[in-house]
Amino acid sequence: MRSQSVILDVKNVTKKFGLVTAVNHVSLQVREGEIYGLTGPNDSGKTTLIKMILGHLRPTAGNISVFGYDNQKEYADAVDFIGATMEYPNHYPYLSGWQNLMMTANMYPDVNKARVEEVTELVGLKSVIHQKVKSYSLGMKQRLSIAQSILKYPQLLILDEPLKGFDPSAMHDFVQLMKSIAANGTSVLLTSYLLEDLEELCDRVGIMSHGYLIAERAMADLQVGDTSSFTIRIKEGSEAEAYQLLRDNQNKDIDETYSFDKVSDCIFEITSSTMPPSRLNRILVEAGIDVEEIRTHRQTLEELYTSLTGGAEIE
Amino acid sequence: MNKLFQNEWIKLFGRKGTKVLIALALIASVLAVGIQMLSDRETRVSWQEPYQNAVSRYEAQLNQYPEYNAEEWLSETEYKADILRWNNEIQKNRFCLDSGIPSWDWRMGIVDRYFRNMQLLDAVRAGWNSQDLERYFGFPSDLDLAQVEETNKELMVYILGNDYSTYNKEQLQLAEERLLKLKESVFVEGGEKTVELAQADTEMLERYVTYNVPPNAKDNWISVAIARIRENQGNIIEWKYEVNTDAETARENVMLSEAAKVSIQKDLFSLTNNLPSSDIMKEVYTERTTYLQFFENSFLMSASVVILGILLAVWLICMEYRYGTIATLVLYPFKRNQMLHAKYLVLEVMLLCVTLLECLITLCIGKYLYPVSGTDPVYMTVVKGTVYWVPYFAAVLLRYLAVFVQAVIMVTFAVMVSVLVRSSSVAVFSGLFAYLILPQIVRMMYSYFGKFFVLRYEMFVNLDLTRIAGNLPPVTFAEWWAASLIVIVWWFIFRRVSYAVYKRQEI
Repeated sequence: MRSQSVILDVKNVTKKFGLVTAVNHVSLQVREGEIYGLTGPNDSGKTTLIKMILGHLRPTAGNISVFGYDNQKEYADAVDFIGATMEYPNHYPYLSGWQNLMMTANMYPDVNKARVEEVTELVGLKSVIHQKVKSYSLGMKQRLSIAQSILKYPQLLILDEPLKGFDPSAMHDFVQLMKSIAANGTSVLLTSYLLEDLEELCDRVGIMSHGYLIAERAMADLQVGDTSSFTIRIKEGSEAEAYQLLRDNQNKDIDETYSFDKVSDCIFEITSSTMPPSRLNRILVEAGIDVEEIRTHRQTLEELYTSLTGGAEIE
Repeated sequence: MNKLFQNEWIKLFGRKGTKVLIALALIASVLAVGIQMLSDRETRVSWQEPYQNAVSRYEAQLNQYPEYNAEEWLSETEYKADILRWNNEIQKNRFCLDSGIPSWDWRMGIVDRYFRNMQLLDAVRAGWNSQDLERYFGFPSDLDLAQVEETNKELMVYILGNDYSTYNKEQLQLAEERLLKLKESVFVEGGEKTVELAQADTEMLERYVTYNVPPNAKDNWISVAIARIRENQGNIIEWKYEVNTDAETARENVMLSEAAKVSIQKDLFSLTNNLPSSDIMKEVYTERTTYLQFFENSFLMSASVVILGILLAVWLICMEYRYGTIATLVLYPFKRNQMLHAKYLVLEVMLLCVTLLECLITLCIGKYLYPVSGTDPVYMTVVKGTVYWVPYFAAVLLRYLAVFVQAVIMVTFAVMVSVLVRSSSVAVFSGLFAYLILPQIVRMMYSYFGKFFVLRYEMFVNLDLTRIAGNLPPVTFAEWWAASLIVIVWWFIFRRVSYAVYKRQEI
């Protein structure tokens, strides 16, 4: 059965190298047009998992399918959908960037010279494309790898640490490029140690540790996040009334208790597991106090990562 | 597949190192000319020079020889024998110089005989007794001195008259009489062997008479061919009557006899059809280096093609692992076997081009510098008892084809090792060791220790297929078909292993 929306399906995959288990019963799915980020500490198994998806390594157990094609039994069909870059940019250094791209273009009948020029411009390598790759910086090599991987219009783009060596401006360009690729229906699976960028870029994130996929979150869930603490900013001049009201209502109803701190003249931080921000907003407004802003506290990916991995060093 | 081939071609030739290595391999063939020229300068001397050197040497020995001292280890007779021998050598070399007889002249044999007789006559005149003559010079004690003097007069007539036709006829008559006498004798010393050797002598002389060529002339291909036939016949008879041989030696003798018979068959074919084989022409003396000799020397340089193949094969495979490009390579919509196939194809096409270029350079330079010496040789071989021949130029191409095949096999081996170990240094070492050193070790082992005789079928020893093209088995005593079969089987195994590993290996 070919699935319509699931592009990449990793089912219960394990990889052992002798006695060492690098990837342990990992399952994940990447859907059409989705950008999936994979992060985790050093040796957590991210690259091993990517290598298994690309067919470079054979899983010890479990299976992986791309567009429903088993990447072991129907390898050629499975990789036909994939464009990929590996952790370390891999090109022929004694050839120019152009020659490297043309060699990849040669492999696909529907990729012509115009497409190579288009992609070169897209990744910002136009001015240096005829220089030998050995003269490129790491960032330029990464761009070349990305250009190579998107040449054939892949439906699944797999990028292992693509952000290594990027300066902030290049990072911004990359994020925009990935978003436009995903907008066109291409799914992206990428690994990175730059949590902030993953947060900005991805629709979903998986965290790996010691070979296990220990958490998987949609970025939207992370952003709705935890409402147990929030801040209220009231209009200037009502500080005293607001303070009084908050104190009076603090333990008035056993189902709506909270504690609060005055952060500044107009801002109060509320901590409660039972009082929703909307309910407190209504209490204040009904008392004639103008509420200018209620901001729920958003849990960052970094906080989630730290809570799950104990802040282990990531690569 | 075409696209894969194109990519591999770009990878190989986009690198400066490849071009440098190919240039070096081609320069090697040009270098052969330089080496040949240096070698020519060493050996190119006038025909008189060896005689002059010999005269000077013997004169110096005589001058430096101290007066006889009875306390020395040397007996007085030995002392006198040395002086007699050296004087005789001085006379002989001076005679050749004065009479214009170079060392390759057919009369050299007669000159040797003449001065040997002179030595005897001089010794008798100096008062030597027959016992000492036998002991110190090996002359039989029952020699008729008058007869010796008469013989020398006749020999001098031939030497000065340069009349080999009459000489051949007379020698043939003598040989026939001797053979008849041997056949009629009840007891013959040496038995059947002596009779068969006398028969071979008679046949040789019959050929000299038939073809009317000077006997044992080193500068005449027909004379050389006749002498080669006699030599091979002599060897066959010797091996046939060799006694007290172990099983291994007996087997070697049978093989050597078979090879000698093939050689005789080819030489007879050359004589009958007036087609000198390259084997004969290699033995013919020429004052100037010929194209054939140049080619034999320069051909040694063709090993550079094989070494080039090993180096580039290892590089083409191992660099994919080194640069990490193998990871993206396997994602292309081709099977891994097709990718490896493209690599093989590129290497083979490159080797074919380099081999042809090297062949062309050698042919052109050789033809320009060393013209063919009068007679164009042909390449000859015997298959199932029938002699086949092609013009020598075709044989040159055939030999280079053998170099190409050799290079392809070594490339396959190098690719297999590279795929297995993914280390260029290990793969290069293995390739060069297998090609250059291993055959030497094996040859040494089986020639010094009979029990390793079976090693002649070791793969790399049999790799020198140029020897088959040159009418020799790759290994002495091995059959050429067996050697070829071994090489083909191993090539097939190397190829299959490399595909199997490349197809399944994790990256």
